[in-house]
Amino acid sequence: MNSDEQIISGCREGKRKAFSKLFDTYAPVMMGVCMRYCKNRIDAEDVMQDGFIKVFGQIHKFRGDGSLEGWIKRIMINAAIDSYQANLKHAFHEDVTENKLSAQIADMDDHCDDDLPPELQIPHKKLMEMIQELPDGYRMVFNLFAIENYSHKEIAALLGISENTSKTQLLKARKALRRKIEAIIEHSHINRISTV
Amino acid sequence: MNNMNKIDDLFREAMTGYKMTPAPGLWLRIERHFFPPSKYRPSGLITSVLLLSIAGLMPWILIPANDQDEKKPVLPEGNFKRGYLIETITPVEIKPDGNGDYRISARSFTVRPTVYEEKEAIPEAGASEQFIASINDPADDPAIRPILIANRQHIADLAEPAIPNTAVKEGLLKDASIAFLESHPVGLIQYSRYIEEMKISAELRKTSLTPYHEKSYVRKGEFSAGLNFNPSIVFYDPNPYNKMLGGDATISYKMFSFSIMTGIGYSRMEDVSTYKVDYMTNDSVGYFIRVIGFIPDPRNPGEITYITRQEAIYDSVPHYTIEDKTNYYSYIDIPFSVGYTLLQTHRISLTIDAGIKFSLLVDRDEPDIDFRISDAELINVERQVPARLNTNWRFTAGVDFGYILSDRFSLHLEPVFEQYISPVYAKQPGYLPRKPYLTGVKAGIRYNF
Repeated sequence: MNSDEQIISGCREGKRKAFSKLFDTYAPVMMGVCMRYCKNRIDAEDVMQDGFIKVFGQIHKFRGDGSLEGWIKRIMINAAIDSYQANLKHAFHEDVTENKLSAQIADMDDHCDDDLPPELQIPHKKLMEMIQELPDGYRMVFNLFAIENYSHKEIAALLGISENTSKTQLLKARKALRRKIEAIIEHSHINRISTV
Repeated sequence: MNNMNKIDDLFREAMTGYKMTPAPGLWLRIERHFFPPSKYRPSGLITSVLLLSIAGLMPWILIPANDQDEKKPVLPEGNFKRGYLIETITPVEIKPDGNGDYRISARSFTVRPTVYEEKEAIPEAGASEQFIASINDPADDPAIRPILIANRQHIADLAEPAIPNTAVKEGLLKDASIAFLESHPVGLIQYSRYIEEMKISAELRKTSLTPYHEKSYVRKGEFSAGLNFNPSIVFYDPNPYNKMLGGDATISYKMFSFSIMTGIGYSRMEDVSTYKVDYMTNDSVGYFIRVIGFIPDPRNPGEITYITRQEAIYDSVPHYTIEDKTNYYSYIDIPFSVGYTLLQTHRISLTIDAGIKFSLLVDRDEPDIDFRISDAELINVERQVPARLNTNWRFTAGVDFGYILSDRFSLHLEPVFEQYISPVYAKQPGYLPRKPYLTGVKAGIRYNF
């Protein structure tokens, strides 16, 4: 049992081996996805559990239009959004005036080049930690916009927020991340000076 | 949206295809959702099979071996043959039926191996000198009619005390013949030989009987009642298995090699169900910066340096866990099957049977979840496995090994296979319909009327 078709066929027949094979194949990538949307590993595993239960429960709905990985990933993202919405009270505090101003800044920020050094080398694990350290709302919007390439309109619909709020959260997320990156750059610079 | 931001690019490049190994327990949690584990371990299965095997062998262990099959009768000098002797088990009962006639009780016959001497038949000789051979009910066997007719007067004389008003008629006097036969040995010559001889001469041979063995029993055309114990393992393919214990009382009627059986039974089935348990715990959900002091900058009037401290914010956060729980379901079973006896010796029988079984759910034993997470508030318990249906039909098949203890009692051990024809669970989106099958052993005792 190797190809996606065989795995899907086995899963539709309720075969345990097929379920296991599908999990083994896609779990590492999906774990990476879930980690991005959650603040820690425990929450990520909860989301991934929900996601895979939905995957197995809805595998008969997969029509093969796109890749299986893409389909599973969408389910994982939806599971992450469900989990996030279950904790919605901690997320957004909308301020219409502030949002409007911030949204305008965010629009400009989308198209500006940052002054990040081109030779910047940050371990991926560190970048993951940076995303996880973001407040829930920032993290959700940043993931959906910057990594999944959703538009603010789509994000607003998915998260049940306004587009301006989405833009504001993105702006704040970027700023927070930039500060963390700058701190790393500064730290490495100081280290370099001290070693010289 | 065309995203040109370098921060975004940095993270997108790093996070696309980023892989992490999930905790080993995660798959187990997901697997348990779809394939609830059984607490019936293989060691228990092996133990059960061994115990059942021992139980099945007990009759052969406890009951002294009857080696008559191996112990060949020693043939005396002369024209002796091996055959079987038929005798009635109990004396015939002749009772008045209240209308001036007489009724003869139903009879059963024992059959035992014997040796007999072949002699020429002498129809005109006295009845007491005749050996009457039959493979059917002697009273109905046309082969013995000539003897009965030839000896009708003698039969009538014998019958007279028992049936005073029976008239002697030409032809077969059935009741009188039976009365006569009850008081005389009735022999069964080996079947093939008998037929062969009848073809040649259509005449019976006179024989003398030499009963040889102790009792052995074979019966035909009869009702029987049985009590059975029936442990089984239920396989929820592709799920693991659960165990089921049951018993039934049956009644069956056997005619020649065919039999029909019905009855009523009780079974109690284990079912490991999965539950989603929602609960709340008081977790850290973020932090805030508390200003605990400030220092005015003397060099820059108006500038203040704040002294801050990061403090955690706690709030109740929802979680859930997947828990397993063993439920028990009790059923009343009504079986109906037909059987065909492949092998029947004086001690052992081998019968195949098949049929259907109807089950009615009469009791659900579904204990509460044992929630043991400390400092957590239980919010909701949601059953993941659909509810059990109240009725089921299943196909049954088995191979019954019978060991005949006496003319009344026999022990039976039957490996059985049953396949559910209808699902056991109610329909639920996202949950595959389950039509499990089961294998087990039916062990019991049967009483022949």
